[in-house]
Amino acid sequence: MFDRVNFGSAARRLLYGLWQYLQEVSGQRDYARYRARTLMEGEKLLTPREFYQKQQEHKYSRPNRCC
Amino acid sequence: MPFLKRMVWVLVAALGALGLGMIATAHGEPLNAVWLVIAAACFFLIGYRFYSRFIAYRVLGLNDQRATPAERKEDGRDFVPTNKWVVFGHHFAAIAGPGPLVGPILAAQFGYLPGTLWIVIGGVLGGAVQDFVTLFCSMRRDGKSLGQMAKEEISGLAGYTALVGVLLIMVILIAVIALVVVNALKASPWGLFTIAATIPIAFLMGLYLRYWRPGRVLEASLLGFVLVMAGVIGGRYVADSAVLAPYFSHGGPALVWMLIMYGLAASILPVWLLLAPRDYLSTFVKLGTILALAIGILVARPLMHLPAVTRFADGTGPIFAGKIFPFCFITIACGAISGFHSLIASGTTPKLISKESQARMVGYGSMLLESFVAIMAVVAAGVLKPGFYFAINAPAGVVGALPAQAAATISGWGYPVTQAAMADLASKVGELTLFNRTGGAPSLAVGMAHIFSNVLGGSAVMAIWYHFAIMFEALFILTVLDAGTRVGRFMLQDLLGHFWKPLGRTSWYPSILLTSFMMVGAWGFFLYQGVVDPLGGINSLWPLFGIANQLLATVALSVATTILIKMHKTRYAWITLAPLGWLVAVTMTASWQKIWHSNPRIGFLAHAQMLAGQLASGTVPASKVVEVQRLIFNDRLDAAVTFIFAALVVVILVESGRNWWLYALGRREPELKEAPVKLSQLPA
Repeated sequence: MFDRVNFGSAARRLLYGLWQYLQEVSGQRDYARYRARTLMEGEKLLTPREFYQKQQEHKYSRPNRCC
Repeated sequence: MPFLKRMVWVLVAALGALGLGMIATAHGEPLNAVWLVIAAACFFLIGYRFYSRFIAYRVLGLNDQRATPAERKEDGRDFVPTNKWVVFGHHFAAIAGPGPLVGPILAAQFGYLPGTLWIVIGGVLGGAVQDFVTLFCSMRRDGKSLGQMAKEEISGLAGYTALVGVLLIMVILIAVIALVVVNALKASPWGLFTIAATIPIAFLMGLYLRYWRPGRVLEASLLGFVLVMAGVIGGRYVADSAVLAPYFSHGGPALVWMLIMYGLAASILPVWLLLAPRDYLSTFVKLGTILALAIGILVARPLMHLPAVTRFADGTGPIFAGKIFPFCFITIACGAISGFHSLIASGTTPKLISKESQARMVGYGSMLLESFVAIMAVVAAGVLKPGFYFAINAPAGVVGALPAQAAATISGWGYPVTQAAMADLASKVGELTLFNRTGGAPSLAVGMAHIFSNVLGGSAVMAIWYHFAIMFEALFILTVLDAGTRVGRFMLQDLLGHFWKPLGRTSWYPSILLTSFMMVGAWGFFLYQGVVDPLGGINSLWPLFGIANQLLATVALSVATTILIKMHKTRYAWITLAPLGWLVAVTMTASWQKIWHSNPRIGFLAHAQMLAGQLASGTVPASKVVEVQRLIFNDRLDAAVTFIFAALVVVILVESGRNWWLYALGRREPELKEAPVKLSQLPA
């Protein structure tokens, strides 16, 4: 039964899933998402630097880390 | 429920019962920590599966057909429908701070059992309910904050009370966690070097993220982590160097000034340079270490040497004075129920949830995971021999400043420890001494080093593990300190802007400087007071923090109860009323005792009176008169602050109770202020 399971492939899928999750949770994909939406709506597009700066300033202006 | 699933839950219940049985029958024998972890985990699983489901569908009526604010107001920045596991990760990282680690370590002076029971029961029936219901309420109101909801759903006065409560809790919170760091880094060149190194590392990460690779958080965090680990290992050489060690070896007051300067810098400097990169680094280190600790406990399966209940259940504890009720429940706040979580649950999180049903996993589930972290902290304290635990945590003012004196006092309590054994332990972890390191961080680090070194490296690398644990604790404590100072600055600017508009402008430098100095001055005052306190500071500051935190929980649960009544779910209002009633009993009793108790180790006023008596009788040496006068002032100030907290609780209760009474009599129509209903278009 076990010889049918491709452990290498399962491990690769797991690592790939973890990598996707880390990218998502760390906010690395936020700009791409924002860019796609802004272009679709025809609004003024911020550069990555401007976008992340705004995002950080907003995040650290309200309680975001608990005791 | 299908038969197979039913059997799985029967098995979980049986395993939990077995764990509880092992705990209950472990009289005199050291308990294997795994039983504690298993019993808690099974209880949490059952609570999540059954109680949170009941709340989600029977009480709150979560409805996936109804669009969440993330969908209705999607803007790609604040409102973004997000994968539930990602929201869970964000929310857990935001709520998991030093509290669930430090609180249980301090409360372990009662033994491991009282804290464990409170964490498990309080988490399932109180903390997780508060977080879940607050998240739900905010989600149905487009992500409104707790203060806004208190204002709109209860009254303007309640909203104002919540705002004042948040500001006060920030001040006390920062002071008390900074005290934990100071006590961990006192006369510890290795520890201080490691922590100091994180500041230039954060600058480097900030520059990397701003100029070289904007948004590449994972790369920058990996770079930061490698450098921090180099700092942990390099710290040993600094501590061993006759030239470098004196630069990193300081007493409490000097460390206070360093933290004050750091807090000011974090509040004034651009957020991308220091605060944000430190936060990224600390979040990854925090989550990774918590996971490693869980694995370490399961692999090492350590024995709990601390008794289930110690002799200090009678209220004579050396770390903080007072009986289990109310002080165990004040000391362990974040691991069981934490009002501060309601600020997170009513902030960013509700703007990210894509389906209403996900609020259950994010709100209730995250809190249970936090309670599980608290259980691991209980284990880390419990694996220490009681003599070591008390020698590390008891302040000099209680056990004596000389090692021989402290060892004799602690052994006299029935918890044997020798000066030689403590010296050996200190040498193993690379410290000069571990006596009188009140605050919880060093004993947690010793416990973690014990667990980690059993799994990897043995006692030869215990010093590395100890300083890794100190780095881990100090790193995220300082993240709370810098983020809290900055947020406090914004709140002060908002408040002062009502009196003079320019002060409310967050980019106006005079206003930034003034409010930063005010915020840092406020927590710096309480911190300094704690550091020079002969009783260790924790005795007075930690209960103040606990009371302040539970004040916020009182606000959150009052808002939640009011909303349940307005939803015509009065018959289920007990889900929030029960924890509210318990918290009011705890908070008011603790406040009363801290102000009025006749024992000077508990009551602030009795302590002030005792010192005033010593001054009047002339028994205080002339060189100490000013110091004693300052202590008297501090005691009276602490009493006044406690009184203010208690008064704020009363205001919230009276305001809420008045509304509930009017609704019950039919004199006021309950008006629910939810956002408009729109059908969801997102796939399930």
